[in-house]
Amino acid sequence: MCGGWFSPDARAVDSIVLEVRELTVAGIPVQAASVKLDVLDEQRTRLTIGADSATLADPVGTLRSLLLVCDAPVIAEPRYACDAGKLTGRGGPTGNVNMHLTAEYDIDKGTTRFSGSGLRVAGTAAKFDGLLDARGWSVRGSTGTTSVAALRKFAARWFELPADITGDGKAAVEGSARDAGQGTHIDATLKLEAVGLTNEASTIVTDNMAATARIRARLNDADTALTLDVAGRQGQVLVGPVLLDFGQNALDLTGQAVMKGDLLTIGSLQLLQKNLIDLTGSGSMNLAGETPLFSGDFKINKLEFPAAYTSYMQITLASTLLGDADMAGTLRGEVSVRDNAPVSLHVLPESLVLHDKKDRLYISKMNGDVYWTPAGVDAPYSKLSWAEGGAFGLSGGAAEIEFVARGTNFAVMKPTRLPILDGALAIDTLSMGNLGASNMEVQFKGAVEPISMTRLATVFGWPAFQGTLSANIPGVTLKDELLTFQGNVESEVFGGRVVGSNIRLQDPLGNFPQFFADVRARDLDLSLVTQTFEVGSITGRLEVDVLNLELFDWSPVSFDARLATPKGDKSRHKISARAVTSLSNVGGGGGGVVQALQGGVLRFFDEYSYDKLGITCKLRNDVCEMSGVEPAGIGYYIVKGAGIPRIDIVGNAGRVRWSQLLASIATADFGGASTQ
Amino acid sequence: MRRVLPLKIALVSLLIAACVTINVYFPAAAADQAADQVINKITSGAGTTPPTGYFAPAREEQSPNFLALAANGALSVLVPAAHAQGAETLNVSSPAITRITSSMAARFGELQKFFASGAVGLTKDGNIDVRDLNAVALPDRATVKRLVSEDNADRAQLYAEIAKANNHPEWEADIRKSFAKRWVATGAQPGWYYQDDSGAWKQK
Repeated sequence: MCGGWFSPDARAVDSIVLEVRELTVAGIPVQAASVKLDVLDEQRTRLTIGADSATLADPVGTLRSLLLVCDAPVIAEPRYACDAGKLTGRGGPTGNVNMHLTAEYDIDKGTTRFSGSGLRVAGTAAKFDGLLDARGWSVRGSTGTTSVAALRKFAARWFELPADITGDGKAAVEGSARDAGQGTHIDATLKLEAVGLTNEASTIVTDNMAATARIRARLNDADTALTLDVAGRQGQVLVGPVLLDFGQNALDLTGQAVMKGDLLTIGSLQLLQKNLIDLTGSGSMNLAGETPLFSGDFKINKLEFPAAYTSYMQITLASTLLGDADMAGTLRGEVSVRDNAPVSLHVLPESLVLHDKKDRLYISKMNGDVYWTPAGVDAPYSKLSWAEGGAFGLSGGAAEIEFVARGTNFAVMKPTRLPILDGALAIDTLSMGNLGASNMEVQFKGAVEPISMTRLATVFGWPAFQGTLSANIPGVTLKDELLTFQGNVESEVFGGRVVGSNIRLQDPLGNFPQFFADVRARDLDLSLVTQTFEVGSITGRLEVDVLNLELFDWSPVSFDARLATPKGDKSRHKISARAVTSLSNVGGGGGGVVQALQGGVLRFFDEYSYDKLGITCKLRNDVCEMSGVEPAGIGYYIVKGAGIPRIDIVGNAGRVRWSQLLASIATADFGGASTQ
Repeated sequence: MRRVLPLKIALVSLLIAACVTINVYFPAAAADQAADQVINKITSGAGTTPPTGYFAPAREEQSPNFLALAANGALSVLVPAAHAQGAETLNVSSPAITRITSSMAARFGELQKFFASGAVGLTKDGNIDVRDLNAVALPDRATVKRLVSEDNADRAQLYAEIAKANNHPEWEADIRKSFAKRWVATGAQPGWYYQDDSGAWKQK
């Protein structure tokens, strides 16, 4: 129903009012609308259009008390226009409407054009323009630059960030929407600059981030098609253990997806980050349940180090051996996920280099073909090879290893030889379970193929000496971070045999590994020993027991040591004057020994015969409780002489500081043993 | 019979006197002093140094003679709560402690700025922990996590080694408590954060 009212004034008509209770304009329901045309004078008219309410599509919603005042209406058929209007009202996303508006209706074309400006949105002035015609409608608009906080508040009715995320930055939105009868198309772009946000736990953080996100959507009754483009060019983003540096590794993420019911089908996804990653994939996400379930297949076309290490791995590995490492090389592969769980991983490292900055581990030029499957699923054999590798100073050459990785378990599938210096670690069997967990298990069987002691001595800074180290290791177990070796490590040095047994290594990958063993040496040739350590010449045989040996960070802190002439030894027993001095020093002797040897009849002898020699040291708390082969008055015999002239070396030092003893041996500077 | 009675009395007296009670208690004051010494070495960047001199001091008598035992036994009977007390100092100069302390001293230089910013604080159990990740720039997150992890591993080993060096492995928990207290009292600088007994963070 409509009605009109005309002024009965005798003068010319000065206003026309048209009232409509309900009508629909371009599909927009309008309640209690009125149009009033005032003739102000001969030159000027004013058009006032009002409505109690108008219900627009989301996100605008219902607007109330709408009033458009147009001071210069154009009424020139076929064109009806308002070139400078002001629209006010209540409601809508901004709460209130107060903006400049222009509109034009062309009767011949059946089109309505409009534009607005000065609309306050999220603390900034937005502008828009649009078109209504017989085919449908279109609108586009943009905001000025506003703050992230203001935009967040404005958008809260549709989308809310978690409440504990705080921070701010600059943001601007622009977009367009259209509907020509084939569904609504939306194209929106969000530009962010200098954004710094963080959640309370500080696990989601952006720092000075600049990024652009563009989303295009096509909505119809059947489904919603989405296209996403994200570009990150500045700043850093932390999401859990992943740290992305857009300044170093510019981000481009594109994806196409279709939402139908509760199922989001991702037709394609591409993630590019300069010098970091090139990943493509597809998948789907089922949103029906409480927890969205994602399934997908991704192809890692290229993953580049070191950026991959700093971006994806370093925070996760921070507390491990690889927490501070240099890496280089690339990697490619595929990964599949079903219902949020990875079901297969195939990785091909190419010329990968890993170097722990504390020199505990390094691998150079590693290539391979590695498969992983969850526990209970058969995995193909994996292969890794490298040109060089090393751990804790023990370097080795090229090696290749074949294994199976399944769940948290790992097993070498064929005998493998890992070169160590000029020898090797021969692996017969090696399997590990519960990898990465506190209850990690290791089973090992293999051998150490002979390594020359000269090479080992160089690595560990020992005096150079001849011989080899080898071992048959029937088993190794790991429990509570204690690596226990079954079997003995054997070494052939100084013409004799050294056997290490009861070998255990506590906290092998920790900052301070603790090594425990019993070491027994038999039939050592003392002349070879004394040549190596330059303490003067001694001939004869020697047996050594170092029991309850404990090394802390590879330095001895506790042992019960005994070095002595074997019982019944029939070899030639001679000791040089220099060796007498050296052994006297160990026993607490001093410069007086030298004078004694250079005086009297002794000066005519370069060497002396001895019956037996020996020394014991019980090391505890940096104190060595010393003794010799047998008591001698208040002291003990270090060397019990024989023949004429007879020289006995009697030690008097009972308790000697171990650190000072070592330093003194190195500098031949002692505090006072005596010769008799 | 009368001739036997004095002998029985003497025998019973001897048995009573021979009952030795040695209650070893934790020397809290000495532990605090040792903690201060170690903490000072760490915070000054010096690490601990082993004692010098070729000859080690003679070992204290480990097994008291019979008369001493008897006397101590008599005392125990009279004063059951009496404690045997060792020397009022703790050994903090074993090679293991020296190495751990040096390691912590070297790391302290890196940790200091994170203590000062409030990113890292001292916990009530003698460890350190990340208190406020927001105070850590994103590129430093991995470093802080590594430093805290490494330092806590060293701290755990330090407390165990001090207990071990003093022949009382069972003192480890008490030594940890002493260090927790002394780190706040003498190791922390004004402005650093620490946990009170309830676990709440407080600023020194």
